[in-house]
Amino acid sequence: MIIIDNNVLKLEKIFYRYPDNKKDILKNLNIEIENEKWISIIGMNGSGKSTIAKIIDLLIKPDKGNVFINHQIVDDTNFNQLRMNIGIVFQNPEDQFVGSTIETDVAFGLENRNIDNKIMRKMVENALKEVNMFDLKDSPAESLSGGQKQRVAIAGIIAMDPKIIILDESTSMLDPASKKDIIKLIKKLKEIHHWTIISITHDVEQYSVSDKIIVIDKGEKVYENTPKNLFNNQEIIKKFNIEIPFSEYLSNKLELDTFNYSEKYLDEDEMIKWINQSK
Amino acid sequence: MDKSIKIKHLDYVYQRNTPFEKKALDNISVEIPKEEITMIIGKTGSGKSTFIKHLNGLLIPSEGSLEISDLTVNSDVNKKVLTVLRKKVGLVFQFPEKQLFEETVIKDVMVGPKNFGLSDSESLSNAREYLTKVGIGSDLYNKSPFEISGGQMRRVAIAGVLAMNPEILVLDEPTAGLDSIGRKMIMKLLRDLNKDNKITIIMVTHDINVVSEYSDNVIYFKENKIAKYGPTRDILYDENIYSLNSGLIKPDVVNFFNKLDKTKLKIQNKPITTDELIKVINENIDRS
Amino acid sequence: MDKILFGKYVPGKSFIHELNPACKIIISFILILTTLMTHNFIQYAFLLGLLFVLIKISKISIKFFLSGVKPLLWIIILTVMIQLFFSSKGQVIFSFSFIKITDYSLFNSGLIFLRFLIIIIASTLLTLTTNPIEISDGISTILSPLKKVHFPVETVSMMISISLRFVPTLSEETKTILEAQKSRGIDFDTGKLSKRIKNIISLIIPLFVSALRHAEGLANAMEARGYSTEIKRSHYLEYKWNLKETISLIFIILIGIIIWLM
Repeated sequence: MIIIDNNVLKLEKIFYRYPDNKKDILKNLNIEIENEKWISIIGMNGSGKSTIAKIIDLLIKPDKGNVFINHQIVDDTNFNQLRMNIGIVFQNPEDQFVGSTIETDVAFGLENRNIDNKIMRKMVENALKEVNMFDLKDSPAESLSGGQKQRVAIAGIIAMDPKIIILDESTSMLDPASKKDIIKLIKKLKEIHHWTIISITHDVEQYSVSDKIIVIDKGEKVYENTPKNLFNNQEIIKKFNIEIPFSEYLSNKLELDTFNYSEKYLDEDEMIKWINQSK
Repeated sequence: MDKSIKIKHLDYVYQRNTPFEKKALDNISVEIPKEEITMIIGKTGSGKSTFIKHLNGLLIPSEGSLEISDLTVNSDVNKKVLTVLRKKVGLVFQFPEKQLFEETVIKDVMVGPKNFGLSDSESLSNAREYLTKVGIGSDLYNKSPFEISGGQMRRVAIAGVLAMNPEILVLDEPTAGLDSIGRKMIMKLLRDLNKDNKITIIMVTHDINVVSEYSDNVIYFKENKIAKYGPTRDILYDENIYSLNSGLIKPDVVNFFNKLDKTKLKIQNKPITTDELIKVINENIDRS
Repeated sequence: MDKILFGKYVPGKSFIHELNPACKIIISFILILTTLMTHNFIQYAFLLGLLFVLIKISKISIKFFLSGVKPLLWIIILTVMIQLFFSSKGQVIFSFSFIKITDYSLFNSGLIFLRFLIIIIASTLLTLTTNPIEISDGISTILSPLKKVHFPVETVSMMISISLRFVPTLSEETKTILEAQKSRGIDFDTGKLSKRIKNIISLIIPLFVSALRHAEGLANAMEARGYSTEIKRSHYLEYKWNLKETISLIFIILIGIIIWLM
């Protein structure tokens, strides 16, 4: 019997070293990402997480090891074909805006696929409606805020209809309100389009909504678990300087165990309920 | 000496006498206390950035005036006053790492002081002092500013402004794009500069949690006017500022405190910092 | 800097706005060609009159237009001055130390002034009524016959459209860096020339670094979205060539010939 796992994306024994560098930035890295899950990859500056992003984005090739997309090893022959399964939202909203207006930018990927004009117009329209930017379709790039540009980038991805979405520091240049807004939008779209999402991020708002968090340090995977378990693991949080959501931070600071309280971890609503009752 | 920055009926008209003419600041009057931390909030395009450029003379008011430590700036101010003003008021732009250009870190930090007439040795000692203050070690002094990490570049750029020994430091979103460690490092630095060196801090930010945690006063800009101004605690507990189009969200602390059952709660002040909130909870909870 | 209209686009729905961009580019080219081939004031007066009518049709206010062209006048005046002071042909009518003004140079610089003005007005009118992507698509239409000799028309047109797309971004960045360096006491307006040249470096290096970053980010984003110079691409914007384009073109060619023959 052939057992096929449910991984749509897999990094297997990946090694990578930048030219002119003496040390490997990635060492024997294994990451598996299951279908329709949201995985966040986090780590301090210099941990190697942005190199992982470039490898998953298929912008650089690992020195050793394999990248699998839908169980196929990525190589030079199927590279362009497999890339169509992936949509990436990059960090800088400015640099991924290729067209001069919203609609021409959303159309860019479709033009590259040589799609017929009539069909393309319909696809652009639908994609823009999904991110609520259709009314602004003629607006030029320079009139948009960072958050709006990221919405347009997401529309560009919807139009191409990939199943794997990579958020490569996509919210790190946005202000907190736009950040929340983009994360909410992606959460909604994930359900509609059955996306598998990989976030490479340092934004707590983003990794706290994912299904699983992978912590990278010195080019290696050092921890992998659900957000709830990570936020409750004092040792890992301290060791890798991980930012945790506000209510978790509070519950850690309050040292609930000194209150004769057995549960160490509470989310915000649970905490408020508990405080209101224990006065 | 007067302890505040006085802005009186300031108007700024952008691109006057052109087809693109637009009133960017409309009748701004405010007194910003010295030696405190004042933060400016409001939507993009509400006038915040235009306002702070007036504080060091990059923009000149179309109408009205500013009084900053014995200097008066109005529409017919002369250039000498502006030079003095720029030395007193250091301005750190958004993504200040973009302004780095010298061959080495230390040379770049010395650019400002040298241009304002300090000798080479004074410039060097200022540069060293402030690089230490921002947490850049001497091992990086002779590196190219383009070889160090993004967070380090930002701190070098800030040191470059501090090395001019400004009385007032104005910053445009100094924490934008940084991770939590970088953010805390910058905010701790600004707090120390304010406490230890008595530098007045005025900064624009979109991060409402930074406002609640670190500021003394808040100026809230809306549609090119100042809509609210006052002590941080009063402003952040004012429900009106969170109206639908304000673009503002509640700070975590305020949000959390609002959800608590207030009956039987003994408090002196409504908490705005995390420490204050923890204190409130600890004091009100039965430990048995 | 902000006042210059050249290169900016003002959206609108006029006859000129909606003309096929390739047609508009050819018309502008004919106007410029006519200007370069004519040599007297009456011809220039007619060309200016024609441009005046075209601006009217574009529904852009004349006041708006002139205030935008005004900052560029300095460049023209400088060129004209050089022509005026340093030409030796003709009868001297005024002289002061090394400066000599002759009747010939006076006449000639007047013509050069008008010639420049007409060219600037014509090209500003083109960019004001045609957005960057249309201009690059227009150029690519005009160049398309060159595909037969394996000239990379699509790639060149992509390059033009991306350059135009990044003009506002980079000019905004230039402004910010300039202000940041001013805040550090770097003076771009006064002081010795050698010092000022050195100060310009504080502007050029950051801009260069930033442009390279944009280029890298953009290249990654384009590659990730499937762009390659080898693929066959379709086009979202399609332009029609109707009767109105043909008539406009014939009309302009005729006027050009009439003015030329005057």
